[in-house]
Amino acid sequence: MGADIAIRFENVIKTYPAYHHVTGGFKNFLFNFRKSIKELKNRSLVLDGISLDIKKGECFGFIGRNGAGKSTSLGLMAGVLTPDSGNVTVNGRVSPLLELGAGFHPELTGRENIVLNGVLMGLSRSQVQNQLEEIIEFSGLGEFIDQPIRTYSSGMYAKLGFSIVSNLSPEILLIDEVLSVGDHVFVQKCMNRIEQFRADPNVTLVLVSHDHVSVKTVCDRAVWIENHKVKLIGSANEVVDAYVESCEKQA
Amino acid sequence: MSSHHHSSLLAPKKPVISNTVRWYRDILIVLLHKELTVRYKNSVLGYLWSLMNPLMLAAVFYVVFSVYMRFNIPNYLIVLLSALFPWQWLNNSVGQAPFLFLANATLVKKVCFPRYIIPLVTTLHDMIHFLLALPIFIFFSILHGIYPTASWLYGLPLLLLVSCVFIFGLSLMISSINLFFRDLNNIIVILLNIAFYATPIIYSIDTVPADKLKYFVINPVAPLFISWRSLLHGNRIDMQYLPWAIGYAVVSLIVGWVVYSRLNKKFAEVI
Repeated sequence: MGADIAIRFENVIKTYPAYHHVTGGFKNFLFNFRKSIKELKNRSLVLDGISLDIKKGECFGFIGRNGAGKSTSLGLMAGVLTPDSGNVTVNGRVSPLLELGAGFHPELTGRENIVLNGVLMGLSRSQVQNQLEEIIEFSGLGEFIDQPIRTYSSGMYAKLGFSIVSNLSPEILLIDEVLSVGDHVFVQKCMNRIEQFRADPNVTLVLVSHDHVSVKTVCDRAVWIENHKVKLIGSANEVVDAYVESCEKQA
Repeated sequence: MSSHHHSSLLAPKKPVISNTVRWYRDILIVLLHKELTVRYKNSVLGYLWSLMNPLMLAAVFYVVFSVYMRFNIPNYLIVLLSALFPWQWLNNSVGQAPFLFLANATLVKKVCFPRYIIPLVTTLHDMIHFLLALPIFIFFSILHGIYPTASWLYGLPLLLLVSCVFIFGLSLMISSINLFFRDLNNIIVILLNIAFYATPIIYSIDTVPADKLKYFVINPVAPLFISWRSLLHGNRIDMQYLPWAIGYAVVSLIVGWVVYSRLNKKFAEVI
């Protein structure tokens, strides 16, 4: 694999189990034993032979309908899922962008939450410590930074979340649809910051979304996944237009 | 063949690996720090609250067994506490184990790190809590005229390590299985209750008929707590039961590790 490739999918097949009987507990499992055993073997296909390259420094989008396998792709890139067959090769340090507040604890102070969240998003403790004053300054929370964040308003929450994102120095940043659901100010500031990451040749961005507008505005290239396979791969404009057209046809 | 590589072709290999390990250590530290800060937030009051449960339990057992049923065990309170405090550690960690990965769903689904850190953090957190409760034990001990001896210097680290290994192995196994069988905690509650009475905590092995002593070797939990009592109350290393405790700890770690490694890859699929 060349040094200019950040992520490579080679003929990746991923299936999911129909675990719901089993996750229903031992009781369910034992009382529906035959059915449960059958379901254990019966896995549903999510990705069927996906191959693609994401280049270093580019911004790459995944689009497709709900359940098309976008989040599964993200999980494979993050390394939290393993493919059934094929390879996912990642060249660089992966940082997941956690949704607003996902790594926060309400009883901890703003300062403590910065360290906690920063480390979970891939920074080392010393990196966070070195930039702590800068991050606090950036958050604009002043003396509230030493208050437990359960006392924060949603706006302050967003400021804290963003101050951490703004100081991330990712190699590969994975962004889930999370950006569409956060606080408005948070989303706007994050989008500005993502613009900066986009301009940086050392940062590879991967965006997973069914909001085709954001894929079109942010991404250079994109892939459209339909029926578990790559339907189209190319420039973001081209792929999004084709996707929108197909959606309109079906509507 | 299926595999998932995280490699860096540009940077030399070695620093990358040590950076990763350092990051894992940092995750362990921040998660442990979070648990401790949340528990002891209002310093003194938080500490006292966390001691309430074991002390109230001890008071109840003391009144029932020593006053009402007139158990003829000298220094019953010390005998009781010397096993009850370590038991609280196991009880808290193992009791929470079914919910550990579910409570950290975001981490499991989004962040790639060794997930065994999560049960490890709980085990260490409850160990620190046990250590903080130890001065209370020593205080009551001294009131009864029993003083710690030099045997604690090597006995304490040894038993802490054995307990850590034993409890971590159990937590790892239970937390992993519970993702697939979500009603496991119902079974764990019952098992913990049985284990509590099957282990010499509210009673002493000294009063158990000699022909029944073999059951405390078969019970994987008992040797550890017999060893704790021998150290904390008797100031001695229990050469009869400690080897069993070590053996069960190693078995617990191996079983926990095997279960975890087999299921770990599927965690994000089922959570």
